[in-house]
Amino acid sequence: MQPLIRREEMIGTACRLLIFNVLYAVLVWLTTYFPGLDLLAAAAFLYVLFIWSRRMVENGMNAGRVMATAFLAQLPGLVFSGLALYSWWRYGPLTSYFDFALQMWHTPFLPLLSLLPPIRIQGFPLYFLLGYILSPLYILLMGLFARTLPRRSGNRVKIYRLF
Amino acid sequence: MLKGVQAIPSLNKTYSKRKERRHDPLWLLLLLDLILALFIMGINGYNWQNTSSRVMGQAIKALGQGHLGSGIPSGRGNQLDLSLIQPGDILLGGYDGATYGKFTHAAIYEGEGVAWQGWLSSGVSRVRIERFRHYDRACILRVITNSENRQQAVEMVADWDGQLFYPLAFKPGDRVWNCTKIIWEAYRRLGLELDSGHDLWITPDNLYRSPLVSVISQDGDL
Repeated sequence: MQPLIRREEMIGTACRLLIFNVLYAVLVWLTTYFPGLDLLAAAAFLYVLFIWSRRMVENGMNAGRVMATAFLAQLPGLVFSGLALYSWWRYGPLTSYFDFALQMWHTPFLPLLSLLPPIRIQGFPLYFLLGYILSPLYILLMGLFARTLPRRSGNRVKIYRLF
Repeated sequence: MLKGVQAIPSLNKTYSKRKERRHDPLWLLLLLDLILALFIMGINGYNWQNTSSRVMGQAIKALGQGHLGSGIPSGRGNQLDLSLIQPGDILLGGYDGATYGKFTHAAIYEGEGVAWQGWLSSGVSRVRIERFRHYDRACILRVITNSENRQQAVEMVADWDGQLFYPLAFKPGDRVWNCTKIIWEAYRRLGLELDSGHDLWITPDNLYRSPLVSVISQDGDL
């Protein structure tokens, strides 16, 4: 029988994921001072998310709940995306502080975005447009990670508690 | 046989929780951030005496005064004489109340009314120079070198077309840019160090104060 995950635990995990995002954004920004190390840090970010989502599955969450937790953790990113898009719709294509805040929020992905080809769509670079969908992508990714292994399988490699 | 706190279940639980909290990876991550920040500041010559006069100190002071971002336009614009500009010249513009100096934006002139800039929503991209008329203060700087070097600097920046803009980009690296870094890096590769501040970041104000540039034209409160 699967243990029930209480709502408070989900919110607690989401808060920890949110704080992790903020602290990791600072880390990735600092590692950009050492070109190359930033790429390693960004890859490690994805790996930690992978471990974290599997840990949540081990604690009795299904992929849906993992995604719901990731949704809560990505609320700042989703809000910034929404406000930036609203600002564009309302005032035209002017860069707003919400675009800036969105880029800061997604700093953990910055080194990976810098590897994208410098192509433009309707005059906007790919990295900039991707910024708007990174939060939904993050949520989907967490769900995908949670589904990579069957729950409660007896012969899977033990993952030590990281988060 | 259990000893000490382990012998009492409730105390054992509290002890375990405290131990877990002490080894919480989020605290370790915060510690890593602080260590890395101090290390980077250290290798760049930051110390208690000089921090207030450098970019970070000035930014903290400005933030303390409520100056967040690139300032607030007054709407009066400027009367900069754009007819004097030549390819390779640097355009600076700024508003009052910015976090990082009097000037907040920079671009390098290509010719025919077009300059190269770094901008959040367009990356490294072209911009019409008339756009600098909106700033409350603006100036044209000419790097003291021959016209071939200036033309080469423009071509170098053009090669970075569409690359990623990040406002807090540090000086090292060539994947993440801001408006001033593209200009500084292009001239640095030609052997001209335009950073008068020798700091972690290159700001428009540091370009303005460089002994390797001359002011061709300026307007606004400077």
